[in-house]
Amino acid sequence: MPEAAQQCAELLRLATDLKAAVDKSSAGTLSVTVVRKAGEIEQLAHKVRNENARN
Amino acid sequence: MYEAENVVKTGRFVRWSPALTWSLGLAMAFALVPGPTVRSQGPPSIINRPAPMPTDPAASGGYDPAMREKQLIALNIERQKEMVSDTNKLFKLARELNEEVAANGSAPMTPDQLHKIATIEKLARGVKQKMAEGTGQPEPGMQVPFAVPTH
Repeated sequence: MPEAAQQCAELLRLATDLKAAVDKSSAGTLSVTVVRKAGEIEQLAHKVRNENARN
Repeated sequence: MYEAENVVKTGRFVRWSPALTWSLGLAMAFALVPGPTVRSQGPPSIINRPAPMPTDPAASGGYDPAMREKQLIALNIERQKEMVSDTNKLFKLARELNEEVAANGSAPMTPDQLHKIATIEKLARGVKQKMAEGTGQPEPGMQVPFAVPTH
């Protein structure tokens, strides 16, 4: 499996986790899980974009 | 007069002539000098005073905690809706991207796919910021490494 495909599969897994965490959270409540998962998605997406933009 | 017109037309300050200065000074002096006051000798029947302002906490610089609390609740609900919407978009894009890249094999990513990744990154940053800037309490049982404002 190519690296880009692996990274996109990881992005989807993180997005699924984020969606579950956001659905579980309520208004006015700080969810550390949401902040952490969103940060991981942001970093991975940035990495994938940079690596594939060069190719 | 010509100079005054010139000032008005060009919109720039031109050196004022003594005549123009004098006429402006006279006009200001007449405007400031009060005219003769004609009043009746009796007691004043009606005194024109401005009506008292209503006691508005916002206008008087006061603080209404109940109103502030309602505003915070409304803001939190709105922020939660936006987070749910953004997360759904992010999830949809990640699923589409995963299917496309898996179908492509080892082919390089297309500009459309790179655009999707950029959108995913932007949405994730937005969700993170919205959650971090929330005004609520941490989830029960969570160890928060930073202070959470209560207001």
